[in-house]
Amino acid sequence: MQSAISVFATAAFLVYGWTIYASFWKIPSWLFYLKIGEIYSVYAYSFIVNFLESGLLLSGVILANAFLSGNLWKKNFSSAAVAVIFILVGSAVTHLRLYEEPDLREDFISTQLLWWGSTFIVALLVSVVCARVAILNKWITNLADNMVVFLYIYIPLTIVSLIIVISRIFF
Amino acid sequence: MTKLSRRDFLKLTSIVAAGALAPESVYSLKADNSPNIIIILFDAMSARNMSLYGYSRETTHNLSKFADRSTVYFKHYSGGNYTTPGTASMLTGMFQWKHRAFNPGGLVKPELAIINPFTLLGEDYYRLMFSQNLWPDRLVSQYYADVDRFLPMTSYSFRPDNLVMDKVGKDRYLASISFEEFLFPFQSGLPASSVLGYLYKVFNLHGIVSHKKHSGYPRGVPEVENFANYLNEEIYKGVLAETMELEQQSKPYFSYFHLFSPHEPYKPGRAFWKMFENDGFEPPPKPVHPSVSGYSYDNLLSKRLRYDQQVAHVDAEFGKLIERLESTNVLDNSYIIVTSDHGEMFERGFFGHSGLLMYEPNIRIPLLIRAPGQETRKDIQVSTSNIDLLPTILSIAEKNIPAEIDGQVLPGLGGNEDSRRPLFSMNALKNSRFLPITRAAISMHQEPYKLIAYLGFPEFGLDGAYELYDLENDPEEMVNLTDYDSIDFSKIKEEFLDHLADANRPYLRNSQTGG
Repeated sequence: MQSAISVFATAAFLVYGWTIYASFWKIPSWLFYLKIGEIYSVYAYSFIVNFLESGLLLSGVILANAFLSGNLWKKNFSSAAVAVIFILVGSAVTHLRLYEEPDLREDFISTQLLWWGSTFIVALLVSVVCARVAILNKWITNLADNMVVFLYIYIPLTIVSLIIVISRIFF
Repeated sequence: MTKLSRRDFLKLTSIVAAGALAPESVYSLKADNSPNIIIILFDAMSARNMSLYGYSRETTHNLSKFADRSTVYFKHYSGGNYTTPGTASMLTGMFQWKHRAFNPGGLVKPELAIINPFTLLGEDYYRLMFSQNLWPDRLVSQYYADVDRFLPMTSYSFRPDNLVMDKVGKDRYLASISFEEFLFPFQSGLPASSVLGYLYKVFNLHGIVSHKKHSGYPRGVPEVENFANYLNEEIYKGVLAETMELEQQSKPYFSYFHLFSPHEPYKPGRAFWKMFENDGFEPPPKPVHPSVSGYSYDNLLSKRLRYDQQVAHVDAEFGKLIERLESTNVLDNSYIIVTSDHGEMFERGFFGHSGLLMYEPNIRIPLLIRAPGQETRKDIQVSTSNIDLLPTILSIAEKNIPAEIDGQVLPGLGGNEDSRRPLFSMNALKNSRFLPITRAAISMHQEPYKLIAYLGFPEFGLDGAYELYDLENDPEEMVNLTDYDSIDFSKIKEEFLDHLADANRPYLRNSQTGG
């Protein structure tokens, strides 16, 4: 259970962090026509989506763990899962960044197989290395444990966001 | 049981008789005799590229035929040079500096949002909204509750409908910013959602790429910028189908169809893709505007050709639609309003719309209004603005016109011709809506002149820069009269600055307190 929380915290750190980073590009234009409360409402919708995404990532690695037969992953779930999540999210945002321009949209689609094939191979290898190298394993597990502190920010933020969104939609 | 009046009886008899002659006719008798009002808006249709308005390429054969039975406005201007401000001006009947929707994706000032045709026509009308373009969809979502049928942008396209937007109720506009602009951006830009946003982008672009080819479209299927592919034939069939549905309503209806073509990317159908090629058409070369990087003359010529082909395709679809509306008697009791939200430009080193270019191709738009049963053409040569559309609609529906509206009932439909009235168009996309207008390109039409002001741009100097054209003698805007000592320029500039000062007055306190 503790491992799952650490993995969820790491996923949350990455996905919430990306959204907050992306918002820095939008805030200047929002300030032209949105009030501060409205901008927070946009964050509220986003944090709810981020919470779902974090849950999705956690479910993904739990599912992978169930299907992978070796003991290596099962014994070192926390470090292996965290490494995989870092690589998956990192790969997704790098791919988005590289093919951001509308002119590159067909390349974005045509590189999917190669990109994700390579990503999964790298993720698998890195997760094995992280599980086998004790010092790395320990360092990543510690890192994931420390990430839990961010949940004390993200979870209340998401609960407040949910209240805001529900009240905006229904009242 | 309701007693039939003599008028209703005659109407019913005529409908039954018409029905016998035209089996597909729609049999409907509205609860009252108020006419239906149908707006068909072509996104980015410049009046300058329409043969109806004198363009040398025969781009609008069907619209010209329709014009023979309509009131045609020759100098009709949009309040803005891109979708958000142009559409918001049309829907609010106000100039931009009052309604304040001048930022991309921006919204009308909340306290003025109730001034719109949907809310003001009220429940006496059944109200339908369909926009293929995100920005009008968002503008109308400010009063979502006042729209009886709000079609998703993806209707009649290859793309499945968005599952989220129907679930957010009255918070549709903020949800639109969150989902459609930030987390899962429709157009370009990075999704702020790293996992679901990525998957969404894959799904979205995969859909576009896989529907790119179609035998009827040699240059590829038209699309709403990186979002949805569509066939013009299907869109217009959709408009017809929706109208036929509306005809079943027991009350009159108001429908607003904001159709994306001929907006870029220009992808005309097979019958049009070679049209006008090598016809020797050469528009006059014009100096490159200082605010643009500069497309070559030849490049602009080729883009113009594609655009003209797209316009011709839209015109053909419109022709088919009107034919069907006529054969089903819809025209008998409906006002048909044909217009655009802004123009499109292929000159001065610039192509497309928006930017600081307030020249005629960018802001002069078509307006044709056919009243029920109108059989003759009426030409209106005086300048009008799309802020006049809302008061005209309200007048047709015999509703009160709120005092906040800047526009007036259009001449030819009950209004007076007023050639001295100044009409404003503006691009202020980098000006806060909470602050006075200090950074904008603004045009003021006052017959026969047109003043263009560039305010707050370092490249135009601290005091701003001005251009003045005599449109009567110089319709191509080639001779800037500010280069000559002119009393007219001082007077017009002074009047313009007075209007601007009046518009800015309510916001001066905000600027002193920092917003």
